[in-house]
Amino acid sequence: MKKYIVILFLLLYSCQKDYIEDLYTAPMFFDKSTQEVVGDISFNFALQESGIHYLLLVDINGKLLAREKFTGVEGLNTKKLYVGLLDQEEVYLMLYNWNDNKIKEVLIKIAK
Amino acid sequence: MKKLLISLILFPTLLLGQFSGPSDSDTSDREAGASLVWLGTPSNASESVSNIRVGDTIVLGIKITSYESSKTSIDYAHIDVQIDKRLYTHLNQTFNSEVSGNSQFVGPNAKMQFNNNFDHYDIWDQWQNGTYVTDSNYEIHHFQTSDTSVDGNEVETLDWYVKFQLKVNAFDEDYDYTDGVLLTMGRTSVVQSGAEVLLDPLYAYPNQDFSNEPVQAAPTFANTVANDGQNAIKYKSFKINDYASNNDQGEYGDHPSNSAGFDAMFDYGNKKTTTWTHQGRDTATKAFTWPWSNILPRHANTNFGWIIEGYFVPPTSGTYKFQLNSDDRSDFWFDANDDGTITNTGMGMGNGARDVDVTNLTAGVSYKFRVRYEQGAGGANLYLKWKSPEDVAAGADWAFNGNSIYSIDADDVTVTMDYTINYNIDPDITATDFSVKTYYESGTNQFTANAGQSAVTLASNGSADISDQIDTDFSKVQHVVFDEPSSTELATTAAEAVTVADVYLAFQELTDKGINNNETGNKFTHGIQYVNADIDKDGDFDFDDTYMMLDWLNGGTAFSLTNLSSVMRLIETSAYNSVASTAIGNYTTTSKFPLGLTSGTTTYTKNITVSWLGDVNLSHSPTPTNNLSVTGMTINNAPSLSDTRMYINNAPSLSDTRMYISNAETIEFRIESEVKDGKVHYIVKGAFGGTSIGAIQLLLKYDKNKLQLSDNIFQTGGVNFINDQDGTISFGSLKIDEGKLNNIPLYEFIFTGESSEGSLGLILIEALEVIKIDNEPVNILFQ
Repeated sequence: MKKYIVILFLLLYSCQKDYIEDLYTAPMFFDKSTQEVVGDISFNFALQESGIHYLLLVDINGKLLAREKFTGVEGLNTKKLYVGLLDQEEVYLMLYNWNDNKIKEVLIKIAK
Repeated sequence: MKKLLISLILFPTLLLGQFSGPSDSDTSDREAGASLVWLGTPSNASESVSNIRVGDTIVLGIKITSYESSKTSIDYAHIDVQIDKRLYTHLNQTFNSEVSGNSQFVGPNAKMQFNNNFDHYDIWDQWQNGTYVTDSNYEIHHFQTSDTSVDGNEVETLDWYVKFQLKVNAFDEDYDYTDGVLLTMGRTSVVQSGAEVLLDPLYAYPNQDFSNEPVQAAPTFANTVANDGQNAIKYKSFKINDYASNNDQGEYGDHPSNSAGFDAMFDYGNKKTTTWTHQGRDTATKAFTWPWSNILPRHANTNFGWIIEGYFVPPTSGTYKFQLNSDDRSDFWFDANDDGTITNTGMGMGNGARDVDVTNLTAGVSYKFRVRYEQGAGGANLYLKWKSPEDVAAGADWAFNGNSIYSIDADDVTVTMDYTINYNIDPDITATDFSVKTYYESGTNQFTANAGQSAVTLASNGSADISDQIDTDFSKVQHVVFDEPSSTELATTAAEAVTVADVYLAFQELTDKGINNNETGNKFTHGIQYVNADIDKDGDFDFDDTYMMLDWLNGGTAFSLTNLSSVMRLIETSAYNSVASTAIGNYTTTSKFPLGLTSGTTTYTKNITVSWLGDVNLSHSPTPTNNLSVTGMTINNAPSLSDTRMYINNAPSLSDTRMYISNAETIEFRIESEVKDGKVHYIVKGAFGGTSIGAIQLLLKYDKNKLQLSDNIFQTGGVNFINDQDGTISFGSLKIDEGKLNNIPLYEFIFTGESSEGSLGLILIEALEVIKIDNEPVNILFQ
């Protein structure tokens, strides 16, 4: 009986997924619909595929303020947002893929 | 008890000097008494009490009454009349013709003293033993009949025994006409069986207050002119021939035919049909120049009259000819000797124009004058005009000048200025950002600020009231001067006013024949555009100016921005609207404007238009009302200046990133930054499609603490410019000859500096201006 219990235990344990640190479980900037920032900020986000991507800054009236082109990598990416020149208290940060499809969007509230 | 009661009643009277009269029962045996009767005014016995005012003359009578039926036929009486001089001035008295009377003036400064040891009801003893005490507020007149045997002429049968005239000195609503007049009856007697029988008179009598109606206050003084002084007069307005209020009694059968007629008409104190309805101060212009719709106050449009008084101050010495023209009648009085007495000039009384010479007037002296005028019905007008000796010599026409008339002696006038400047400033310039002060010329090209002033900030409509800043010493040449803004504010204003659209239009005008003083191009529509395009201020508009504009776009210093006066232009609005294309050199830049003060003039309004050097397309300068076709040049194919402004409407939604410019096409620019090889590349690429673009100006702002501009690559097909100033790059391109810019222009900027995690937010772009080859603006859409 004791043997069966040990075997059952081994079976159950062996059927669990191997533990590998999941990048997608790290805090991602786009996970929330709104982020509040104070000053310039580095932020993380995950991409499902490598390649050309774009980050856009758009004011709340829809005016494009900036577009940055970058080559992202699958998994964790880190970029920086500089807010010193922005007059706006709220801007949208948008993530687009290579063919201009929007992937993520977050409203950033900038503490002045 | 009776004595005590009388004493109590009299006590306040004695104390206060007023007398209200005891009742019948409180007096003596009342065998005889004297009372006041109202007899109107000297010329009108029926004049209403309610029509009397300060300054009027009234007539009061004394009636004698016998209260003892067995002792009638009073033919002897002594009466004292005590007058309060604060209320009245005694003028004279008259005895009834049916008696023989006499009078005695007891004293100018005396009051009756009753507080002696005699009973008050024993008036005879009072009379015999009473005293008169000195009191400057009173005077006493003693009247008596001297005929003691006037059988059949008993004084008690008379309406009045003696009457006296009083001038009303003061108004107090607590007084009536009988206040201030106290009658005291002394000896009274009748003759019975040949012997005199003394009566016990009332020392006073009941019901002395016959009106209880206070002296009327003068009409409210209405100040239409703020202060006494220049171009002001004082007037009184009358209602005349007021039949309806007086049982339709006619008083004036005709218009006054002479001065005495006017005297009678305006003797409002004594006329039952004349009342004083208005008094006040107004402009001489209003008094002596019509139209009918703007004349001095009056109770109605018929049956009114005025007495208008003022001072005439001749600007030069000599004989002045005065003309009075009126309907209905008027007369003219003048103190030609300046001795304080005005006299009738005798110019005549009829309707229409009459004139008179007033000789030997001295310049600067204040001569009092008076005009009297009356209007019955029908046509009405009143004009006063004159000719100076110089006018006569020059054959000039009659003229009125309010500057020569004062409401008070000109020597007593403190000159107050009313000076308003209306700066006509383009709506795209914020007027309230500017302020002005006044300066005077203190030497060659030297200006000194007037003392005791503070800067006047322009109102939102551009107006400035500088009245308090002006020195009334007209010998000083004074200017109103804009305060100098900071260099940053000045640069910002200039950058807003002078953009690529101005430069492009200037090049187009030159290309279109408007070159080298020719000014016959067809792109400018107003003369002021040539003036504003003369950047080097050499009096013409040529390529030197356009290349200075290019230099300006590239951040050069050829276009001087040393101070406000180097770019601001002030032109009187009437002139601004008609600037000719050939008059470039007539209008320099300046921030000061001469006030043009003239001795004798205190009210000014200046309309000044503000334009800016380099504002060729007048985007920040008012558009003149007259175009070149009016001021002497044919205009063909000129752009519409009204379309050169960029009106932004309709804030776009998030889903629509376009910024709309009303009635304009839209072109697109794709913006993109990328970090390559450790440098930030920022690209602006146009996509114009079929739109022919002539000029572009955009702004790039970057964080100068983190990035440095190292290079730029422009591919546009035109002349490019770039001006990097303190983290802001003004850049763009324009065609300076025929043709258009590339349909897909490219502007690339290369920055060094921080870039390890990208450049998002380090570089931002702003649209400024994009102009088609026909100078029409277009929408700019960043994608």
